[in-house]
Amino acid sequence: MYSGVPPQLVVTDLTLSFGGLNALSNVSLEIEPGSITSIIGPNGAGKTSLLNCISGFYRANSGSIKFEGHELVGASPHQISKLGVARAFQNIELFSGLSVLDNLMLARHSHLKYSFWEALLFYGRSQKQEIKNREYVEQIIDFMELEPVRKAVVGELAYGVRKRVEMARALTLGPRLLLLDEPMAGMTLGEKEDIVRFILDIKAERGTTVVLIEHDLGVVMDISDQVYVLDFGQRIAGGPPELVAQNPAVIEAYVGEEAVL
Amino acid sequence: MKLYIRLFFSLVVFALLGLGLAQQEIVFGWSGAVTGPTSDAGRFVLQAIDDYCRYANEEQLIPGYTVNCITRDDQYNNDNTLRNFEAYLDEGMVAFIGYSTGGTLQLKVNALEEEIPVIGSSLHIGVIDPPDNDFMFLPISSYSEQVLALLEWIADNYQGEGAPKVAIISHPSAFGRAPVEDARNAAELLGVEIVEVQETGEGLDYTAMLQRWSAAGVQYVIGQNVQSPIAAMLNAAQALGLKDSMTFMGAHYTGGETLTNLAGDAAEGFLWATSYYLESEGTPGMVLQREIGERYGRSEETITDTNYTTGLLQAAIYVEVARRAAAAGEVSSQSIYEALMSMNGVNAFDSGFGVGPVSFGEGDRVGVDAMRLIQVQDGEWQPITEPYNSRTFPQVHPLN
Amino acid sequence: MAVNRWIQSGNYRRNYKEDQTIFATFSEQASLVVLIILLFLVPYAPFMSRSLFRLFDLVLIYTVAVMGLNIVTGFAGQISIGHAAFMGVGAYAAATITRDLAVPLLGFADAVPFWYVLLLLPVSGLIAATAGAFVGLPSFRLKHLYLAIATLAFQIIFTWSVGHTPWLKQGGSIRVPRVEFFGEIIRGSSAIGPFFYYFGLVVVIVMALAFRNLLRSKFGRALVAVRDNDRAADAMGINPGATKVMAFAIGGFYAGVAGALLAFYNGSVIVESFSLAISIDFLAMAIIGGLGTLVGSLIGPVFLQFLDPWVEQLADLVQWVMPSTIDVGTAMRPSVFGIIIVLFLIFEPRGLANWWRLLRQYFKRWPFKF
Ligand SMILES: Nc1ncnc2c1ncn2[C@@H]1O[C@H](COP(=O)(O)OP(=O)(O)OP(=O)(O)O)[C@@H](O)[C@H]1O
Ligand SMILES: [Mg+2]
Repeated sequence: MYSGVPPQLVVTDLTLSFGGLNALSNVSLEIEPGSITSIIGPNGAGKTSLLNCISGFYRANSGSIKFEGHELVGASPHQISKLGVARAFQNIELFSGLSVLDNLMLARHSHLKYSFWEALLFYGRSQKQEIKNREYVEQIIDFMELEPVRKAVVGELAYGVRKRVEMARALTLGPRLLLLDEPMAGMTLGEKEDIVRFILDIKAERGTTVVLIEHDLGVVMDISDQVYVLDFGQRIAGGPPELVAQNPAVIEAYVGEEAVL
Repeated sequence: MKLYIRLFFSLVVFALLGLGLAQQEIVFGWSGAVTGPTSDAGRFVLQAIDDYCRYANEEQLIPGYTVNCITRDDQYNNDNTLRNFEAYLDEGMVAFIGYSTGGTLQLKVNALEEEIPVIGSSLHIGVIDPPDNDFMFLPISSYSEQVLALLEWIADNYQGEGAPKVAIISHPSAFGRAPVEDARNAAELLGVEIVEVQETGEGLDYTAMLQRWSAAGVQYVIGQNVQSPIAAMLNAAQALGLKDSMTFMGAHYTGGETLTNLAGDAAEGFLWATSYYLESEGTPGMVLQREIGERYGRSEETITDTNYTTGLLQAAIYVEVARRAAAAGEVSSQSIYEALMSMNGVNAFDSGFGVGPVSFGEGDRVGVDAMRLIQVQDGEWQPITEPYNSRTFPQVHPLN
Repeated sequence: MAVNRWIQSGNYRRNYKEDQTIFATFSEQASLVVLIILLFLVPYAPFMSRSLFRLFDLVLIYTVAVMGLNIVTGFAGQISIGHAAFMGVGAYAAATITRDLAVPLLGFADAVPFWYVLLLLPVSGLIAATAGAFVGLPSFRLKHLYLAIATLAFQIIFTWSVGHTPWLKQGGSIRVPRVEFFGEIIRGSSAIGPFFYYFGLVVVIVMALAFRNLLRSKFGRALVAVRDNDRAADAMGINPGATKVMAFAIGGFYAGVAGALLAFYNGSVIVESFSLAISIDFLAMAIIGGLGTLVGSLIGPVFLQFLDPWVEQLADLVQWVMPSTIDVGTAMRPSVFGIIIVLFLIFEPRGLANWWRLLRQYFKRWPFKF
């Protein structure tokens, strides 16, 4: 939008309705590769719905979503995941009966290149692939500082840790676009700072594009390259954080939070 | 040291003693449904086998030998039948009495390999059809022959125009389907039209079925089933007023006291094909049946039941062949088999339980070949024919 | 490893390859080897009789089938009420291929060579797997109970179609030739019992190894993922519908192999061996053994098969004290089995496998309590 690099994700005129209610109406936005983009807006504004459309869980009624040239509307979540779009859920959706390690190994599913027959033997390629991907998983574990809980069963972990595993799992998919839905919700200040650090590192070290939904406007204004604001399913503003913060429509939507802005 | 020697010798003596005793014992095995499906019939067969073996021992029917009839429940489950059969082998069985159609069919190969004669309660013709039929025997005529006899009766007694129209109500199992193919072929020979073959166990809407048949002009209904669906059908027919326009009939397991008890008046006129005498006839065999039943404290219900006769006949056949084998030499499955195969001509066995002598031999694996038609008249079963054989059966289903 | 390998109480694996191994400690590996040796020695035990061999042989055959059911129900979380029918597909495949193709084309007479049986087992498995995949197809759209109904429908259609197909003898017995093993025809229960014990044991071991390997691969993880949370699985690039279909296919394969084995074991195939009642027995074996564990599939069939004759004797005993008009026996087996299943579902939903796990832990930590 500003640098001339072609955008990685282009959403045009996206409309999604549930019965009579428009969760999204004619939303358009563009996301540059390697940037951090935040989507903000009051509760029920349609932020999660937008993410669900991008990741294939909802099918938009009209409009298009292009990721690196691929149309995502109509594709299923597993197809979109394989294109390089990963997503962490707002309400933790982990495999609670499995260990942290297995949760993360599951994210390597599409990267494990061996056939069913090789799996039955578990020798040669399948074993090598498992080891190679296990190494990748261990890197993420290091990166997200999850070493102490590596073998713990996810269902037995504290909320903050589970949120972190959720984010780690999305990252383990090795995405080029990472969608994070309120990764810091309900966390202590210390935990939030960790997550902010992780997000910045993801951008800096891996060059992964991050789309972040977040209610903490302080954090959003600090780390975002771009901010989009949704209200009642409509995009009411978009641009660099400083510009968005001064937008009167945004201020109106956030009456109670002027102080923060 | 001495102690060990004494111990050793006493062991040898015991072993010899045991061996001696074992030689004097003849083991027959029975496996059937005492619980589970069809156990109402199976229990009478079991009681008859137990009773006849006791009777044979008390009367010393086989001089110098005792008969040991091992009887175990198989819950109408083939796996259990096979398990019992093999358990009996461990216990020295020389001949086996089977029960269910499935279990007996599945036993054919085992009987052949173990060279153990098998007589079943199932009258499925496949039991004695090749292959693997060498050791398989039926106590009385097959379902196929019974159904064919009924078709012949229809052809002979029909007085209307065109071909008589018949419907068959068969059990949804190998048992029910056994005679269907032969029946179709015989019907063609006899000029009888089979309108429909309806498979049903319990719980069908008999009213709808009968109305459909009535609309199609069906005049005769032949059952290859068990008594309860037949009774339900008869009750429905009576309620619909179809008893005058349709004649109901059936093979061995449709008839007997159980049917008249279940269907009451609705059973009036039902025609039944079987090879057993009825207890009420008071023939010598039936007198013996009552004597045995009363001696071992059986209820009136047991004593008058045809399934009790079935068990008595099965046990009586084996006791008789064992007696012949013992007279000729030693009793083994081999000598039992040979005695069975030579039970013909002057050696045929008149058990008194069936309406004809029991005969087996090359090309004859059916014990009591003859059968009669028996009809419910004024609430009582009355024979309406002399013992005879189906004339179309040898044409339709030649035995090897 | 410098420390005593026998009393190792935790895992000290030093690289990822070691971490993939199935058994954590050396003593666990050793006890498995001992167990397998013992199992191979069972036929030499003095107490072995024909009927005991039958019990063992059926346990082994059913174990193969229950492993398959466990993949569908325990790992992929899809209840199957038609597993015996898949076993039937395998058995009928083996019987008809042998009767209509192998005997006329390859000229087998009284018996079929062992290599042919080895070849036919996976072929029958694949045919049953195809049936499994087909029945699993609705899982792209249906979930949970609806899918269970689809499997029930398959069970009913199977029984009905076999009963009405003259080619399959309408469910009556189809003869299957005996097996010829290095020039000797295995016939008669005294030969068949031990032969199928060893054959069944080897098949169980091979199938269990494949099972274990599958489960530690991405395919096994995908099954569990779909069971635990199919939305999240979808986001991981796993196609939930296809994964369930795969589970049904694998389950079908195991059932089909078991069916072919049963066909050769009995020397005949009859439709009653694959009834709804057997399907429910399989479910009971899987539940009581422990859903979602390999050990459960191994313990469940043993437990129920050995319970069966015992319940029978108990019924005899109860019938003795009850008036003869009350038919205890007929009600006994289904009710005892039903009660046991319900008790397990309430008190030990993880099945006997959990007891096994606790026992193992106890010995691992011994002599310490915690
Ligand atoms: N599956 C659904 N069925 C019906 N309505 C839905 C569904 N999903 C979302 N909605 C509605 O769409 C609107 C937008 O919801 P959405 O979850 O996208 O909001 P959000 O901006 O993520 O809110 P929050 O900040 O609380 O997470 C809400 O009114 C919600 O009730
Ligand atoms: Mg939301």
